[in-house]
Amino acid sequence: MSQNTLNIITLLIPALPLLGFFIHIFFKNKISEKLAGIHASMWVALSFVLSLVLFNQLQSVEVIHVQLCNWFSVGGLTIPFAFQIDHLSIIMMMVITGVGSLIHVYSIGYMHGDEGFNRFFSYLNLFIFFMLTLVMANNYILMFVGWEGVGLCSYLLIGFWYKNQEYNKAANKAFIMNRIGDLAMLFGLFLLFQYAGTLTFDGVNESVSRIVPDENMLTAITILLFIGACGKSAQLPLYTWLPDAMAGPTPVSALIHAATMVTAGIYMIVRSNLLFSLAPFTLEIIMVVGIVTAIFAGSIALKQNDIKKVLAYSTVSQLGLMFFAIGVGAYEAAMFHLITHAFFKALLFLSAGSVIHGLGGEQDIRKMGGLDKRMKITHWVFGFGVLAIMAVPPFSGFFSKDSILIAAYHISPVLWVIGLFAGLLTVYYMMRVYAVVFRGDERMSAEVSKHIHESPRVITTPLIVLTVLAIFGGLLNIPHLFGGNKMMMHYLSPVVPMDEKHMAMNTEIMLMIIASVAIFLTIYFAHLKYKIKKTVPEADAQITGFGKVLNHKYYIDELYNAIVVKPLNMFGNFLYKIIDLQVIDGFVNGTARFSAYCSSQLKNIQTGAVSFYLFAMALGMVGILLLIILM
Amino acid sequence: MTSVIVLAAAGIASMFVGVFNIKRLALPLVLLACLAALGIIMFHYNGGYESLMNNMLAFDAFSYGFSVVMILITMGILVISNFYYRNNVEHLSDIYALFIFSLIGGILLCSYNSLVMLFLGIEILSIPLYILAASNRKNLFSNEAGLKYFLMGSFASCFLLLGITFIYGTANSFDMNVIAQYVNANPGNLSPLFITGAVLILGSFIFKVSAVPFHFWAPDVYQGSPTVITAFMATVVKTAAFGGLIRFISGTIFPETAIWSDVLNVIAILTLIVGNILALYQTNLKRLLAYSGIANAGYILVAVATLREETFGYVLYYLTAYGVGSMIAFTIYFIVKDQTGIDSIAGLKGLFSKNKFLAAVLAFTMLSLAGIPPLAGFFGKYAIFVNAINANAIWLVIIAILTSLIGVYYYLRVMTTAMSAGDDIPKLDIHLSYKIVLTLGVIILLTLGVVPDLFNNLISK
Repeated sequence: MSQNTLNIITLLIPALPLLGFFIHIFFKNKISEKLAGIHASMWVALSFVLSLVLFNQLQSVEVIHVQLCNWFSVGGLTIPFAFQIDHLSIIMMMVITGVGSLIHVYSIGYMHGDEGFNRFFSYLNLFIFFMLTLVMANNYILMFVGWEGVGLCSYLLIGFWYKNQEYNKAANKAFIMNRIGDLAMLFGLFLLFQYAGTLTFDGVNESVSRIVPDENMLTAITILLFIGACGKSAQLPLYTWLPDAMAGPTPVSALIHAATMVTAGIYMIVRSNLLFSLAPFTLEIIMVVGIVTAIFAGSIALKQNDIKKVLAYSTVSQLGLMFFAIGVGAYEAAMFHLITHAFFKALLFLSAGSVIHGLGGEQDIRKMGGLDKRMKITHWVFGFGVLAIMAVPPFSGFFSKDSILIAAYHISPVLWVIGLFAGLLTVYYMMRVYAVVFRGDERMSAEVSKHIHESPRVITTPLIVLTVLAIFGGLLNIPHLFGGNKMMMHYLSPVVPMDEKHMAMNTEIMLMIIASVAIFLTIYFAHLKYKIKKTVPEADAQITGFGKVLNHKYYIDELYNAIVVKPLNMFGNFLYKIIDLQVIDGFVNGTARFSAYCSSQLKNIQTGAVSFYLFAMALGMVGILLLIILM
Repeated sequence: MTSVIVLAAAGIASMFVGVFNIKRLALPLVLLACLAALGIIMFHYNGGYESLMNNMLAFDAFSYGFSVVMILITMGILVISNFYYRNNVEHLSDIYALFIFSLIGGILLCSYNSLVMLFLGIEILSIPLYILAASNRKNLFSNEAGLKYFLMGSFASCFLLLGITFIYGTANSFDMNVIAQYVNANPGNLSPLFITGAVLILGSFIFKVSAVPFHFWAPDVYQGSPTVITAFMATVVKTAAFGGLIRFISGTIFPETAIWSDVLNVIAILTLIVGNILALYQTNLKRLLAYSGIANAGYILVAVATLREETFGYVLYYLTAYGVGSMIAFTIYFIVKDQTGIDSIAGLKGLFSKNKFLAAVLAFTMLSLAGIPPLAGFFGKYAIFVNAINANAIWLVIIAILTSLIGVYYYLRVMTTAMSAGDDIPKLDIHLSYKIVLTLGVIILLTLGVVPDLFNNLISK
C-alpha cells in the first residue's frame, strides 16, 4: 500500500467519529433517533475496519508516521500535529473502536426513548475521537489534548441526566479530581521538556538513551506523570470520582469508565516505559500504590449493594492490578490485562445494564434475585463475564492475571501472595453479586416483577460478541507452558523491550495450581454463603463492625471533605471576603478611577483642530531628535 | 511583479467599466484580479529574490508574505463595499479602482529597494485614500476627514522627502544597498545629517501607522470616513506601513540600534499607554475601534523595536489577526448602524437575543482582539511578547502586558453589552455577502489560533 493511502486511512480513523459528532451538532433536531444511532455506530465501526487494515499493514512495517503539519513552534519547542501508529497504539485503537462500536450498538437499545438520545450519541462520537487522538498522537502535547478531551466527554456524560443535581455533583467531582492529576502531569511534561528538550515520543526516547541519566530528575518527572495517571485511572488517593461516575448511563460506565478512558494512564506509562524503567524508585511507588489500591477497592466492593458501584470498585481494583504489573516491570502483562479487562468489564457493565433495563431502573442488588430464569441470555453472558474476571482457567482473565502474578513472583514470592489475595477478593465479591442477583428468591416488588423482560436483540447481540471475546481473549498471549508463544509480548516488543525471565517449568505449574485451588476454594465459600444459604446483604442500618466501615468506603469521602474541602472553602472565603473584596477590589477600582481621570484629561487634547495636530507632530519630531541626542 | 501588473490592469479596466456603464462586471473583475494576483504569488513564487528596474524594487519572501495578507483583506473589503455603496452605484467602479490602486501602493511599499520607490509607494497608497475618505460627498464629516487626512498626510510626506534628501546628501544614493554599505562603513560614526534623515523617515512611518505622538488624525479621520474606507485604512494601510517600516529598518539602519530601537521603544510605550487608556472610555464603537487601532500599532511597534530575522513572521501574523478582527468589527458596526442608526457601544445591548449569528461573530472577534486563546489574537500577542523577552526588553513586555489588560476590559465590554439582555435591537437582515465574509473571517481567526504554524507554512515557502 502506498504511503499516501496509508496517510489517508490513518487520518480517517479519528476523523470519522469527529464527522459523526459534527453531523449530530448540525442536524441536531433533524435526524430521527433511529438514524442518529445507526450513523453514530457506523462511523465507529468504519474506524474499526480501518484500524484492522492498518493492523494488517503493521505486519510488514513497525511504525507508520503521519505528519499533518507543525502545530506550533515557539522558542525551542516544536509540536507537530502528527500521528504515530505502532504496535502499542494499534492495539489500543482496535480495542477502542471495536469495543466502542459494540457499545454504540448496545446504546441504541439502552437509550431508546431518552429525550437526549441524539445528544448522547454526539458525545459518544466525540469521546471516540479524543480517545483515538490520545493513543495515536506522536507527542505528549497532542496526547494531552486527547487526554483532556476524553476528560471533557467523561464530564459531559456523567452529568448526562443534568436535571438530577446529584449527577451534576458527580460530574464536577470527576472533573476536579482529574484536574489535580492533570496539573501534576503538566508539571511533569514541563520538566520532561527541560530534561529532554523535546516532547515527541521518539525524541524523548532518543535523548533519554543519549543523555547520562539524572536519576533525581527522572524520578521527579515520572512521579508527576504517574500522579496524572492516578487521576485518570482512578488510583489512590484520587480514585473517589470513579464510583460516583456511575451516575452516567450504563453504556458510558462500560465504555469510558471501564474499557477505555480509565486505562489511558496505563497506556501513557507503557508508552513512556523507557523513562519509567530508568526510575526504579517510581516503579516501586507505582507497585505499592497499585497493589494497595487493588486490595483497598476490592475490600470496599465486598460490602456494596449497588450493582454498578460493585463493578466500579472492581474496576478500580483491576486498574490497581495493572499498575502493580507496571510496578514489577511487566508492561506487557499490564497491557494484556488491560485488553482482557476491557472485554470482560465492558461485558459485565453492559449485562448489568441489561438487568437494570429489565427491572425498570433498579440498581440495588437486594431488590433483585432469581433472575436466571427471567433473563436467560443476560444471565449466561454475565456468568461468563464473572468467570473471566475471577480468573478461572481457561477464561481470558486467568491468563492475564497469571502473567501479572508470575511477574510479581520474579521480584518476590511475598508480592505473589499479596497479588493473589487481591485476586481472591475479586472472586468473592463477584460471586456474591452473581448469586444475589441471579439466584435465590425474587425480592423485587410485584409491580416490578410483572414487567421483567429479557432485553431486545440490539442489546443482547453486543453482549454475546463480548462474551466470546471475554472467553477467548486469553488466546492473545498464551504462555509457553501451554504451548503458546506469548504472541502479544512479541508483538509489543518494538515498543516495550522484551525482558523474558525464565522460570523453572515446575515452579510455574505449582504457582498456577496453588492460585487456581485458592480461587476455587473462594468460589466454594462464596457459593456456600450466598447461593446455598441464600444470604441476602443486610439493610444498611444493620451493618456493624468492619462491614460498616467497608460499606461506607472507609469514610474516605468524609475524610477528604474534612481535611481538604472544608479548609479550602474556609480559605476561599477568607480570600474572597478580605483579600478580594477589600484589598484587590480597592486597588482595581482605584486604578480604574485613575485611568478614567487620565482618559478624560487626554481626551481634551483631541481638539479636532488641524493646526494643533500639526504643531503636535512637529513637536514630536523635535522630541524624538532630542531623545537621540540625549541618549 | 506580474501580480502588480495584473492588479493595475484590473484597476484601469474597472474605471473603463464605469465609463461604458457595465458596472455589474466591476466587482467580479477586481475580485478575479485579486485572485489571479494571489495565485501568481502563491504558485509561481519559488522563494527567491527578484530584483527589478535597476534594483529599485525587490520582491522576496517578505514582500510576498505582506502582499498576500493585504490582498486577502482587500478582497474582503471589496465584497463588503459592494453592498455598502448600494445607493451610490454610479461611482462604485471608480471606488473599486481606487481601492486597487491603493493596494498596489501597499504592495510597492513592502517591496521597495530604493528610497524613491518608497516615496512613490507611500503616495500611491495615500492619494486614493484622500479621495476615498471624502467619497461620501454629501456628508460633512466625510469631507472633513478627507481634508484632514490630506493635510496631515502631506505634512508627513514633507518629513519623508526631507529625510530622503538628507540621506541622499550623505550616503550619495537612493539605493538601499548603497545606504546599507554607508552605514556599515561608519559604525557609530554616522553623519548627524544622516541620522536626522533616518529619524524623519521613521517619523513619517510613525504617522502612517498612527502611533503616538503622530496619532491625532486617526480618530477624527477614522470616524468621519465611510466605514469601509475606515476598515481599509485600519487594516491594509497599517499592514503596508508596517511592511515599509520594517523594510526600511532592516534594509538600511539595522546595525545602528540607537537610531531606531531606542526611539521605537519610547514610541511603543507611549502608544500602548495612550491608545489603550483613550480607548477605555469611548462610547462610540467606531471611535473605539480607531483607538484600538492605535493601541494595536503599539503592540506591533514592540515587535519592530525588538526586530530580528524571525520577527517578520510574528509581525505579519499579528497584522493578519488584527486586520481580520478589525475588518469583522467594522462590518458589524456598519450592519447595526445601517439598519438601526445605533453607533454607540451601549446601543448594542440585546444584540444576542435576536441576532445570534452576529453576536457570536462579534464575541469571537472581541475575544481575539483581546488576546484570549484559542483565537489568533492570543498567539499574535504571545509571539510578540516572547520575541521581546528574547531581546531582553523586559520592561517593554511588562508595560505591554499591563496595557493589554486594559484592552481586555474595553473589548470584553463590547462583547458583554451585546450579550446582555435587552430588546432595543430588532432582528437585522444580514446580506449574504456579509455572512460569507464574517464566517470566513471567524474561521480564519479560529484556524490561525488553533494551528498557528499553519500560517508560517503557508506564507514562508
